Amino acid sequence: MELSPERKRSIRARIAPLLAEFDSEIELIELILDSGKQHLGVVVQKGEQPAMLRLDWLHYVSMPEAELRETLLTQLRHKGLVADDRVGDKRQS
Amino acid sequence: MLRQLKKLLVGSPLETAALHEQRLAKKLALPVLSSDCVSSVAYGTEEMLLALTAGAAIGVTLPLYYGIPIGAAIAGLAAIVAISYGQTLYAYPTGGGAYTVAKENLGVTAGLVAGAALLIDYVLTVAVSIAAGIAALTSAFPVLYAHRVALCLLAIAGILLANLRGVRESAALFAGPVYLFIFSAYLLVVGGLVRYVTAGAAAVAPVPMQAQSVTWNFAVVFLLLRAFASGSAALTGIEAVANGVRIFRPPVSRNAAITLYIMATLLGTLTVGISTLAYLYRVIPHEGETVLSQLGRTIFGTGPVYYLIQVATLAILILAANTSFADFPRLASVLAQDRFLPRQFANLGDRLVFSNGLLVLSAAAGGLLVLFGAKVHSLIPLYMVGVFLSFTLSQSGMVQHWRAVREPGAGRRAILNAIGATTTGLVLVVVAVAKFAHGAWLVVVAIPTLVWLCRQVRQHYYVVGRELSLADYEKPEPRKHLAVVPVAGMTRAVLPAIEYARAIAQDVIAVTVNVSDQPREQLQAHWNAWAPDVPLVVLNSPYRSILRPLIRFIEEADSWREDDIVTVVLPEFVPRRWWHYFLHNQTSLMIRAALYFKPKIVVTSVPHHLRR
Repeated sequence: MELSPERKRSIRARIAPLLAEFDSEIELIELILDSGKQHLGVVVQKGEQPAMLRLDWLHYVSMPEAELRETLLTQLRHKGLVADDRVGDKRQS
Repeated sequence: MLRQLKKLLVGSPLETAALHEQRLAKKLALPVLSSDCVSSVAYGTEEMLLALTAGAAIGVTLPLYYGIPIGAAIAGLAAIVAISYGQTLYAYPTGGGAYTVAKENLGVTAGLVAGAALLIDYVLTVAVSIAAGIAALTSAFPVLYAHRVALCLLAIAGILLANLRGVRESAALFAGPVYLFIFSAYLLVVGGLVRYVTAGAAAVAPVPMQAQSVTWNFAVVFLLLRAFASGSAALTGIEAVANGVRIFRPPVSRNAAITLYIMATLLGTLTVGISTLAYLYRVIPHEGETVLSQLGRTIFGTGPVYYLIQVATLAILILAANTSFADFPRLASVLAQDRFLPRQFANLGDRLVFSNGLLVLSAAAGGLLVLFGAKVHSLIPLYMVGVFLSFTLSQSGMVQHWRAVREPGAGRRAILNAIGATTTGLVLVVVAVAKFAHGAWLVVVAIPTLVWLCRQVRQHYYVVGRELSLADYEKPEPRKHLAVVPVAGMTRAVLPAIEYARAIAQDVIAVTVNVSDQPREQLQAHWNAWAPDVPLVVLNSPYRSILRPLIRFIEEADSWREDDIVTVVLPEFVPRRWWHYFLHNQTSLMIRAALYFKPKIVVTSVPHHLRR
């Protein structure tokens, strides 16, 4: 199911800065909502490697910033797009 | 075009209903079943003489007349094997091949050993018969000798083609050449003896039997055993009657037994006859001309009778090779039905023949002929182990059979089979030892390897059968369905694929790899004009690879939701002409190949047929 352009823009505005914070090479490619309106797919890409991050759509709207950040970071780490120590180093510097 | 070529070479497909068996009288069944066995005298005696004379290389000279008692011993062996196999005909009136008899009476492993030995033998029958047949031809026309390998391969290709077209063991095809060979071989023996006794005695002066003295030692005994082992090649094909007993008219077993005894008599008398002639005319095997050719030329001169013998020899040996083209695929199909060989061997082709077996047999025999330079002498050592192993297992199985059935006369039959099994077992040991270093080791290794492979094949089918079984299977819950449509852009071929994806899945994602660095907005705008409700994921490809990012994305899409099934819908255009394929990237093919082994991912294509 295709999200409206406005909705896409607002989600991008929320997620893109977080991704840039994790790794400036990670690009937000597309946002996809499934027909059951349960899962939001966040398609990102770093170099040649794409990944599809999964967010609970119902929970997303009310999701606190810290939790969203942690959810995205965990999945990026799991998919090998962000090294385990990278974000921590950035914060310290 | 390929279909037309196949139709031209192989012929139009036949209906399954056209499959029937012919029933033959003895006089027609004899040529059908005896070509392999009777033709063996063309090379069996020669191999025996070659082994006799080979002792000269190590300083042991054996007189040629030793060939006569060895020939007689081979004839005796043929009689024992024939009488023993005669008992099989009564126990298995529908066909008692070594595999069936050994498996039913001695167990699966013994059956597999017999089956493996037979398969290898059929390959060698083709290789040896063709090589010997071409040797008959090149003996008559020495200019062809240098091209013998190519001629052998040509002969195999011809037989293969004839069999793919569905040439069966037609009595009409076999009767002429087989009877012609039997006639010409007896003509040679009788003519040779008459000439020797009358006019020819002065022309050739054989070495008197007592002229040479032989110091008996291990080397002499070994050479004699090796000569016997080599000459035993003449027995190959004697089991054909037991395998093909179904083609006889009733009373099946009796008719088959009589035919078998006639065949053994022909074999025995011709072996002794040719050995005797070789001694009388002092014919020694040498490269470039066969013993039969030398005898024919010496006795009849290079005239019509000589050429008749050579042509008849070539013809019967080609037919002997052809019998393996019937037997190998048949045995392979039985093994495949028992799941010891790939199922493809059990499939009947367009012309109601086991085409895959025919192709494998031709390739294997052709490979051997190339590898051994189409020299009969080099191939013979490989031949004998399998032959006598299958004889021994089959006859041992029959002993077990008669012990189990306990019917009147079973005891006598068991004794006859026990004599057969013991004799062939002893010959097997002699052959294996005497020929081991000359190539028999190859078969000694190949048979257990083939048995192991058969067991692996069966194990695989067992595991697959269990995995596919519905026993204890719980019906799966309905799953979510995501369709991913890889596209190169928006074209006429893409829209039907999108429609199809929408028809089968609740969620559809299109994905493209931007290798040409087109502005993303431009791609998106063009897409939205035609399929605004389907999200298009535009992936980057810094190294210009289409496949790597695409496959990775599909894997990611697969793990997006729990319990999801992903179908990759490939829009494909089909060019009008086959050669147009070469003008396009085969991306669909590569995607299909890359996803073939991914579980849970279904790949399908929506073709768009081009009109020009």
